[in-house]
Amino acid sequence: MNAPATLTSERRGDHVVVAVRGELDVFNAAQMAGAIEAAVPSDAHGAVIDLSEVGFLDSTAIRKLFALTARLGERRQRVQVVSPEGSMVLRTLQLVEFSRAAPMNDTLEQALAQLEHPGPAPG
Amino acid sequence: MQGPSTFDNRTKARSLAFLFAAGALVGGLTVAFPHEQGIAEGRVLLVAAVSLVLALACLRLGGRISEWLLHGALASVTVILSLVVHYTGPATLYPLIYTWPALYAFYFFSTPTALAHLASIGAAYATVLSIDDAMDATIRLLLVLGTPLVIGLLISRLLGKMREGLQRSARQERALRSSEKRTRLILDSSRDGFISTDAQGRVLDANAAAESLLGRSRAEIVGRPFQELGIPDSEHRRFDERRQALLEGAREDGMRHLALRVSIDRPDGTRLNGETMIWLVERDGEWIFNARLTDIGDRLREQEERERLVAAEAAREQAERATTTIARLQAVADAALTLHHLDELLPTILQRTREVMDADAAAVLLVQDDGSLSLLSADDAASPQRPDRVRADAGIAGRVLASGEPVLVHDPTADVLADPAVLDAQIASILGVPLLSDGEVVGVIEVGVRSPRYLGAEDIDLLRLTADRVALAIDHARAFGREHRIAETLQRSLLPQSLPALPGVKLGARYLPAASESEVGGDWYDAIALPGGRVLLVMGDVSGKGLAAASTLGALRNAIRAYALEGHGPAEIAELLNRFVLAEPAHDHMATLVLAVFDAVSGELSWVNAGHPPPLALAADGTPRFLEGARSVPLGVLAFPGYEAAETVVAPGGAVVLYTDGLIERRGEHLDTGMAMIAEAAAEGPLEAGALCDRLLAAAVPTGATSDDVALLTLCHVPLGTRLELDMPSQPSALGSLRGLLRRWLAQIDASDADVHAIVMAASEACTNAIEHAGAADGDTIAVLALLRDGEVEVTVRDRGHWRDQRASPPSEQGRGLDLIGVLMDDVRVEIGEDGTTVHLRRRLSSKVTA
Repeated sequence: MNAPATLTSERRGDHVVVAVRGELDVFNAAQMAGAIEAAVPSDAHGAVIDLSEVGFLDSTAIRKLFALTARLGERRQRVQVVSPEGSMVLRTLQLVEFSRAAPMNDTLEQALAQLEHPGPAPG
Repeated sequence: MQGPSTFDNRTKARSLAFLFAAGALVGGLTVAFPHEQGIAEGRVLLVAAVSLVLALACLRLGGRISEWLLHGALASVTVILSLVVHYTGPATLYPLIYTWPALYAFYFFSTPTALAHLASIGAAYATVLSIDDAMDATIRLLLVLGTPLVIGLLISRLLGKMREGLQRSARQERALRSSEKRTRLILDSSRDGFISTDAQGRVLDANAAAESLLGRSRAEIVGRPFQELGIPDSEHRRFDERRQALLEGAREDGMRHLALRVSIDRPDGTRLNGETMIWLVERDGEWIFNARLTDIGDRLREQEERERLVAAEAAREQAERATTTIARLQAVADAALTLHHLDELLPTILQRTREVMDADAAAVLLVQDDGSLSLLSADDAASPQRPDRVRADAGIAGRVLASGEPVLVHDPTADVLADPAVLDAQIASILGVPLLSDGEVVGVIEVGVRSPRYLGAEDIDLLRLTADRVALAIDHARAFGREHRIAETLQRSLLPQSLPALPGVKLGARYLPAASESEVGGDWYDAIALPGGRVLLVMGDVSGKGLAAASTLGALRNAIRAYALEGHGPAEIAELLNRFVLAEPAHDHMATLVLAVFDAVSGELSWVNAGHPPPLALAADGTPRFLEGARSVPLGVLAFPGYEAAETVVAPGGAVVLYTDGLIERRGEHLDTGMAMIAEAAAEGPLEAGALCDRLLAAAVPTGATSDDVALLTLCHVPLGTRLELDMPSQPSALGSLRGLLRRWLAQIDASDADVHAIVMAASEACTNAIEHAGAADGDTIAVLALLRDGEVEVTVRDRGHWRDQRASPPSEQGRGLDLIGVLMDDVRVEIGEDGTTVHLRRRLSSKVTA
């Protein structure tokens, strides 16, 4: 439950799903952001950053996520974030209005669907 | 006829023959010369012829003639004479011839026999006279008988006297002979040889013993110079001189004897070891040497045997003394093998030195770095007030130190002593010799003995021998001490300087080195904070001691830290360590250890046990339980030991104890006894990390002195109440467990998800800022206090640095944290003080909770 953060990535057609597990804070945020970026190949049209298994994000991690989405955007890669309703992470992300940087999704399927058929962000 | 006759029969026979011959001659001459008429010439001639025949017969018989034949022959003389008287007529003078046989009888026979012959003569003449009817017959008879009677008696008396004298001398002669025989017998039966020599040394006589002693017969000895009888040529001169001296001495002052040792070579090749006593006697104006020769070979052999026995006994005693001394010397050397610390070694060495020297007092003085001598004394003779140190130039020790040579002082006076108190001990002799190490004087060893004994040259040698061993022992102890200190330092350096401060966890540790055991042990422990609020506990024991064990220990310690930071679990770490140990064949060491990872948030404990005593887990109520699971072989014995971790939960309020065998092993007791004992001790008191350590040590090592190293590590899972107080390492890695603890505490006080999110986030941000901006040094901690008061949670984060004011610095990435905090909490207050910054965060809980 309090294990160090880990990362898995999965190719879904033109897109990549990167799932993060653990807590992200000043201790590992930079490393994790780098790992996520590395996990998204340049030929991918879009990336889903799945934070459903992340228990905590601190301000440093948030900043890294903002920076990461900005960089991916510069690479013309769309980003969708998964953070389930009611999770601590979603509370944090809402607090800093992360949806301005990347659309938020309740589920992975929703996020993938958004990549295929871009629509209005769920708020 | 009694007694021995003076004459032999031969003489008697010849004399008788002479009588017959004389008678025959008278007869012949009577006829030849003019004679009276009436003499019957023919008959006279016939009788003369018979006489002549008888004379010849007597001569012929000689000595063979018997006594009786002699008497018969003499009687026949009377008969023949009577016939002649008868034939010649009574007037002639022939009857005078009767005196011949009468005197013969008196001369040769005893007086009674002679008188008998005389009577027969008288009868014969009387018969003749009566036949011839002669005139004056009576007178003639008286004359014829009287004359020979008187003369015969005279002769007889004379002869008697003569015979008496002869017999006496014969008796004397016989007595003398028998005396000589006895003397000879005595001399011959003596075991000593008796030899007489004349003044020139020529042997006159020698007894039987002398014959056998000299190995020569009497015939070979007598008449030869004594020197030639086997006395070696080299001795001749000495012999002559001594004999000459004896002679001269005898003449001058009567010194008449001397005793000499002689050795005589016998003809058969054997040698006589003799002693001779020579004395000088004068006989008939001649000097005679009498010598008694005694074989002293036996005596010499006995003496030699006695001397040999005495020498053997002395040698045996000497050998025994030497053996004892060697054993005692060995004991001095042995001290170095069993006692490694100078403090222990020196008193033992002094006591043993006193035994070696049989001394009443002993002291060792060692040269110190400042040149002074430090004194160690182990005897009762020296006063207790002896100074600990003396000047290097003071006293006997100072003299030894200066000269490098032994110094022996008898009846010491105050001015030669560094410590006059020695005088009170009535020490008669003090001996000091240098302790040499690599040719350098490193100290002095002194012994003293009380009056009346004095030490001598032998004692100097013995103390030197002792000093060699003492110096070796001291060298050894010092070298050991150096290595020991290095090993100890190394080992100590390998133990954590401080234990990690983890939220929700209190750690305690003790390391107690063996007191009597000289070698540094291979026990060690470690505690490493892992990411995510976890801690890795290590308790190990490397086999072997000293420097090598300490270096192996160091390698293992570093390997564990490396593996742990790579994120391996206890079982993986153990597998890796096993490979590591096996890959180092030079380090011929085995290690036992327990690796345990404790998660302070969940209370989960995951451990492996490589041949080590099982950890002791204590529930919050103190119930002890040994964690027997996950036991496997020690490191370095199997290629694939297959370590597997076991897991348990240590609930808040509980504790875990890791230890080495020194804590539970006690001589003569089963391990179970020791384990039961520490379980009991652990349960009896508060589960607080430090107190628990102290309690366990007090129970297991009540004296504080242990024969084996003891290492002890306790972990207490801090129970959470309405107030959460923890020291967080000023490290980002500790943030996770802080949040974990905070969540646990908030869940305990029934906070809502929104409250939990806000408070955890705010606290984490505050701590992050404290870590990043307070300039905290490694090892610094951040004090976090969370408490619930009147439905409000107040979190205080205090560091020792200066927190950067968001308003004083341009907006930056870091600023977001504080922005967030402000959003999340109802009240945020920052106090910047001289010794640190404190952040107060308050939030009213959204749901009703009971404090």
